[in-house]
Amino acid sequence: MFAGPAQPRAAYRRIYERLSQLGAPELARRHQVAMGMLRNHGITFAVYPDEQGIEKVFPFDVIPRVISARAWRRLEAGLRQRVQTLNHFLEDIYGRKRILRQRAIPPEVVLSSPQYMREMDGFPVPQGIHCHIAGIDLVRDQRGDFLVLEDNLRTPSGVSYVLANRQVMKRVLPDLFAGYPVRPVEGYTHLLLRNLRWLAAREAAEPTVVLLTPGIHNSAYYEHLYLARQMGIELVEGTDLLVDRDQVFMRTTRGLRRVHVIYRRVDDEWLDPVFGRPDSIVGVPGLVAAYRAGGVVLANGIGNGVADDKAVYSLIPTLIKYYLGEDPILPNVPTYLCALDDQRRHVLAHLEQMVVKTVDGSGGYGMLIGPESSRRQQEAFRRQIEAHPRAFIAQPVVSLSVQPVLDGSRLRPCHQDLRPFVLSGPDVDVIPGGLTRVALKAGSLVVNSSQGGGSRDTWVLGALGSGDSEVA
Amino acid sequence: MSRFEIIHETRFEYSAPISETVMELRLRPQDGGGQRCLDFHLEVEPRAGIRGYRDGYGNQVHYFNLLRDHPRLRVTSRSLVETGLPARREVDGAALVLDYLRPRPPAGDVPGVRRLAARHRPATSEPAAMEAALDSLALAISRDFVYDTTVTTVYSSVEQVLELRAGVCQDFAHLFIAAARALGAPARYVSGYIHVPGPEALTEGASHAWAEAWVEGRGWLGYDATHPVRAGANHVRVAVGRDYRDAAPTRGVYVGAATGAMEVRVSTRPV
Repeated sequence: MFAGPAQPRAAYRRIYERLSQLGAPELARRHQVAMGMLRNHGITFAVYPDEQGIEKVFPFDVIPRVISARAWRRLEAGLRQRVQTLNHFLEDIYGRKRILRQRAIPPEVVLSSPQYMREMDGFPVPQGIHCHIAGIDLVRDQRGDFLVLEDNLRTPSGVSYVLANRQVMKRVLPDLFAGYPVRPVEGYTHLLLRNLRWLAAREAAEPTVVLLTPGIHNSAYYEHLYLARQMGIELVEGTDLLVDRDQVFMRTTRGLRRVHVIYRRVDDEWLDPVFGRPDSIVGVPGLVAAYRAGGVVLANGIGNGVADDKAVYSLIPTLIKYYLGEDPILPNVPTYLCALDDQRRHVLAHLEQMVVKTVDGSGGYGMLIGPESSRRQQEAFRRQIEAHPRAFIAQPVVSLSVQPVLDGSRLRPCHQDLRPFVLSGPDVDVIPGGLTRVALKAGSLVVNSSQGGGSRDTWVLGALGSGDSEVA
Repeated sequence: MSRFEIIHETRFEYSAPISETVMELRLRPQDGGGQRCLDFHLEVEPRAGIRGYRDGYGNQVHYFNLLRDHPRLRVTSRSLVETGLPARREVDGAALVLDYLRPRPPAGDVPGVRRLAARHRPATSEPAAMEAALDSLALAISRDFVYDTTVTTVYSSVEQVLELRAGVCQDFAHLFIAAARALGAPARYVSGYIHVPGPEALTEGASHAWAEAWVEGRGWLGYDATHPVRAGANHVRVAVGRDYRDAAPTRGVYVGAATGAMEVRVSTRPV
């Protein structure tokens, strides 16, 4: 946001001027109003390690992030390219396995993934779509280039904050929008519902779509509730559904009602106790067999985790070339696979400079942030990496771009990332915006909501404006 | 070449009527790998509509939902199988079976498994050396572990089996699989039947389980760590998977406030 000390970049100049005119006490008051609105919206999340006060409002920062039309065009093309590639990849490895047979990538990296589900091998997913909803995490380095940090292709969450943050901003700081051609994000739920209904268009003229949630104890339960309400569809739990002769029905006060499409926010293993974990009480017995038989469509597909595995991630630039014959538009963050001997040796020799992650982890849990870690933490990771090398990857710490947040009445620089959402249906669409998460803990690099991160509204500009050359 | 008729009956008895059963069955003997299923008949009582699909392991799955009250359930399959046929050797495709190297419970990568594997490390990197090492592994398991139907359950892990030094065919198959993977051989679980003439057969009246390991240039080889022999014309392959859970003859859930008991009877008869 700042080009130099207290010199806001062009795109932020008006925002900065207006915020200065308001003055610190008024800004603090509006921030309080915003937090109150989010609470009333039910935009909360649960934090697992925190025993008390399980639900919290995701901290909100009133300073928006601005992305120029030009930067967004490139980002959008890159995201589309990436999600199309990941879909081709899933279609291939659960189908003909051309890329593995030709050894265009090391087959062991794919097949050793704990998220590779051979049980779904050979099943043709409806319309050939595996990742209907993807959330791709990006960071911007100090040169201003966007890099992909990780892909989320299973049950990505966070879009409710994108929608709610915009609503709150419009109410709390309406003046800020003047002169900024901010593209709307509200079309997301319409687009998602349209895509979900399209999946069953051959089955029914008016397909019934439901959102399946693990229930109130899930960290994203409020998002499930919010999205179901926005789309005007039923929010159901496993016990609300039953399977009969390959069809899925919802129990209602007026009897059983056929369900054609399930936007499921329950993970693969818990979806159906006959298919996955037998102790799952949040799933629906027989659901996966009904899905195979074509009686219901699931979004997202099953087994997507192999494509967002962090070791497979390192191969994505190769996958883009292989499936699309194109050069990657969005680069990866350099990644070391601990499964490979030479790369592991390098990681172990430079632990204090690395971010170490488990290949199938999410939510910022179980990470080692080298520069912030103690000797003891590093030693603990060293032992774990040596015992289970395939379970870990490491990345050098990326020097992230920073943007100030409001800390009390002062501005303080903070690291941030961006999670845009990509919807695949008849077309691949990216909503113009995304979830910008900021590391609110001073100096922290972790932006996950479960680790003390917050969020801010993200403005994608619709036309080339004055700030186009210099936008952070 | 041999021919067997196999009758496999599974009975579930509940302490009170239950309202729903959802069940998958992996009971149809496979075609290929040196055998052919000539006839297969499946019956579920109370009657239920049976549907089917082929799972990602290539197993034929039958399944049903029973949505009315029932105090008991019986599943009977009758198969006619020809074994000992010439098998087509799968020589390439090693790159496609590497997921069978990944350890997971119950066949986990635990210290005891690593120690067991270390005692049977192949002398050279030649496929023949691996093949022989796996023979010695199967032999060691059958020699050092006691066949005892009373000490383990279908959920027992290799840690428990290593501690007990006893178990049944399922446990020995899991132990073999875990150790073979530790040696670098992709390995999978086979659920099926074995015909052993005479009344003293270990697995009399029950289904059987053994393992297959992928050896470069040889394809999948069957190792029976219970008897111990290479799987041959007396073995009937029904389903494969990473472990018992993928290949289990029956797998399902029931809805109702009752406790259940299961009884299995298998007969194999040469015809």
